[in-house]
Amino acid sequence: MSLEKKIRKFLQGPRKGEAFELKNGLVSQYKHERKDAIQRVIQAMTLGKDVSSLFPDVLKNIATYDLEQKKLVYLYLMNYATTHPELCILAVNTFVQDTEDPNPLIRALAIRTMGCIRVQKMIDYMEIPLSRTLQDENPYVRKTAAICVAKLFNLNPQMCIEFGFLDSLKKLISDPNPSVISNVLNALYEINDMYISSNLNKELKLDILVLDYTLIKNLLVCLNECTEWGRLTILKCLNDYDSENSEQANHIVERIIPQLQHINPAIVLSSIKTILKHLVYLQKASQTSILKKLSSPLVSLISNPIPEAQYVGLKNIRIILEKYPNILSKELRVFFVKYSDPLYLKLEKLDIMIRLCNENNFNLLLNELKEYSMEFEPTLISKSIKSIGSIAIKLPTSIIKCVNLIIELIDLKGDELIIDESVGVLTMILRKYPGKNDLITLILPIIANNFSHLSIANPSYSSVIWLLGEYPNYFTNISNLLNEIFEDFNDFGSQLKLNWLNTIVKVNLNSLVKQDFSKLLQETLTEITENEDDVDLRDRAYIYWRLLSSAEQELPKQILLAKLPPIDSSIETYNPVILNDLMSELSTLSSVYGKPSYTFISNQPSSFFKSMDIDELKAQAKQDIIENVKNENLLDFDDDFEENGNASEGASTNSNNLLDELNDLFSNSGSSPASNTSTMKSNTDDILSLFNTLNVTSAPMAQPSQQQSQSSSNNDNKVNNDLLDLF
Amino acid sequence: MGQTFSFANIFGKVWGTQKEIRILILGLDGAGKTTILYRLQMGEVVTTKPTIGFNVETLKYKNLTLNIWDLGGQTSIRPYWRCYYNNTAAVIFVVDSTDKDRIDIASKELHLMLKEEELLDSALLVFANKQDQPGAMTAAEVSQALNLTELKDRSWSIVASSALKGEGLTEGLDWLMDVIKEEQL
Repeated sequence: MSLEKKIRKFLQGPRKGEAFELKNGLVSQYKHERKDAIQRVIQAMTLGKDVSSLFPDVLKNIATYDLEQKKLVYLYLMNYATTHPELCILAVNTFVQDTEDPNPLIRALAIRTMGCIRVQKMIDYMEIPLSRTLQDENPYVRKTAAICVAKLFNLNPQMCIEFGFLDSLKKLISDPNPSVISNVLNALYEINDMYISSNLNKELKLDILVLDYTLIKNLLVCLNECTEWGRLTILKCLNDYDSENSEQANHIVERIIPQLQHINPAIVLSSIKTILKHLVYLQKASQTSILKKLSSPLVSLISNPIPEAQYVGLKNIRIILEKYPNILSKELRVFFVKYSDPLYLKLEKLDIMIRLCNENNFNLLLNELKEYSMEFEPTLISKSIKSIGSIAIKLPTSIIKCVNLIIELIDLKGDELIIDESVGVLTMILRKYPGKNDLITLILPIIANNFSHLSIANPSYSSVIWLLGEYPNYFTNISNLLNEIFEDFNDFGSQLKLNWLNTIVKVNLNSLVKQDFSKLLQETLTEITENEDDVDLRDRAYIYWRLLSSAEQELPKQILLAKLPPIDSSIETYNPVILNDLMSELSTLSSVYGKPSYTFISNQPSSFFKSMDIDELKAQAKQDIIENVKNENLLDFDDDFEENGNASEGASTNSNNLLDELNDLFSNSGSSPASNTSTMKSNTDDILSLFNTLNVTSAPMAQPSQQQSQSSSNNDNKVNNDLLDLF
Repeated sequence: MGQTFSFANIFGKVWGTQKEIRILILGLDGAGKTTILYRLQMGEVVTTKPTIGFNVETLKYKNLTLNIWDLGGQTSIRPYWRCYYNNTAAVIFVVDSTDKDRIDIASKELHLMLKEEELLDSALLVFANKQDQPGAMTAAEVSQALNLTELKDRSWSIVASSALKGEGLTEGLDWLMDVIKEEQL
């Protein structure tokens, strides 16, 4: 046996084992053995085993009259075509023949599989079969071919346009069959998205999807006869159309209304969205009547048995409510929390209920909220108590009831959580109605009585300190309270300290306070000015001290005892611009996130990640490591800076030192590859100007650091941003 | 799997009715391979396009089940012929008798193919096709041009044929069947 033969034998692969058995089966002289082998190959494939080595042998079985076998081989091809791109052309003949098969299922199967084989060589042979199937007499084949055009566009847009597939697709939109139309629409939308994010020549206007009223009328007719997916696509299209007059809008809305009864919540939601879009073109009277019709479909969204689907419904309802607050005013009961709801549903329902609350139903809602506050989940309890506060702030008539309910809750189950939340809520209520004497006398004693249950870890501790400064004369034991609080002063965070500083100053200035707290004030000011690290806090203490020691008697009072403007509402709302964006993106991910899509979907071509090869990935990993190391450096650097800055107060020697360190930092990173310089320019400029304000003489020093940093990588962006935050 | 042990199967194996005999039809592009295949299978002339890939048809001939593979002859596909050599009982090599310019290329491809280890035991039938055309070389001329006489240790035959008229095909196939039956028994 010659050497060549030996090598060939070796290359032929194993002579036993599963792969060998399968290979033998695939080329067997018996039909049933071949089919059996194919089935086993597909089985292995679905289990995740790599059977790509059998490609040529599986391919031999593609030409068969057995539909089952054909489907299996096609399935295999779709999966592994990219592993043997050059062998794929051996399948072309069968594909082309199959697109002429008398059986429409086979024709559609063939063109679908051809589209799924994402190999350049295959595309070259797609012209004839694709144009033939696009004009097929069977709608099933046409609708499959329509999607295939979008796939082709994704692989090779130029060819798709030049061969006129895009134009034939556009023509197909007036097809008599609704399923074909919906698939064509879908394909056109896909192509449009790809076109926008591609770097194709935008001047060559493609007019991929032109919506005119004739098309819309046609779509409205199709709407009832489509599959669920088709309906969604058509609704999307109707939503993109701007009606020209109220007559058109009316027609569109009337045609969509029957869809509100559909069992699929996605269709219901899309229909609602589209109706709301066209609603604005209608007259006021018909608007209200249509809005009324929307309430029961909206309710149907949350009667879905799947909690996740309910959640999506609730998120969308919340956005709609903000635009049309009265749309569900009679449906409060539907949103009552069920004991079996998951927590995220309960919280979301609470959010909706406080928005639905009005003069007529707040009693009902307060009773419910009382129940929820006695539950065991802390998040639910705190949200319920907050909701009680929101109701009090929203409806002035409900205040007394709300406050009494809170008092009742504290009495019933006065644990730390409830007291903490209640105190916070009561403070908010006082901020809304600052002048009301009866309210103040009702609320403040409760807070004073329960203060001993709070510790500085509770968020509401800070509220109490604020209240002491705001209403000192209502607290009978104020001197005890103040002394008690001051004992813990050294454990406070800067926020609490700031709050305390304000309060103690206000208490001293308030002429209604009979006792003298100047000793506490003196101690506070000394403590902060001498031992405090926080610059803001220290500066604030200096300012107060100066103000108090000035000859003016009234000025400090005017400044420090000024009342805060009352709050309007504690219910979160969207900014009107964002609300409009969200309304147009209802029933998408944006409504669940509560953010417009441009904030989380980049306009970059989707192939961005695919194009990264292993070298780029390696480089990226390397950069990540560099970044981590640098972050550590930066932390050290932070500390240095703070110490330096505190000790020197503008002394030039120290800041020069600081700049040296900064230079070091940048020269380190200068070794990494250059990219992304444009965005960082502004950042470095900021730093530069910052240095100028710090110390004018150090400007020449800062110049080189800017140049260096421009040549460094985009990690520096982060570094710079961190630096900026620091300043 | 159960099927494998059924009676019909065992009998099928014994009498050789189910066993398919693989035959390849090879040759340069435009020689008439696909036309021959469908002429043999359906008995009529079909309009063909260049085969990018392959065609397979099963036909019963004299109690044998033949699995006839017609591979595309274009330059780009010829390298992939070798994928199909395994288990092949016979090769039908089709030559366009009017194409005198490329007869050398055909000869080269033929001898290259016959050197393959997997085809050492396969019989060779050459069709000197397109005899209905004016100026076609005779079978003897084609045989000479292809250097068929050099072939040793192999049963081979050349038949003048016209796929369009259906001449010569059955004669060739009859010869092939005799050779195959001899080898199988």
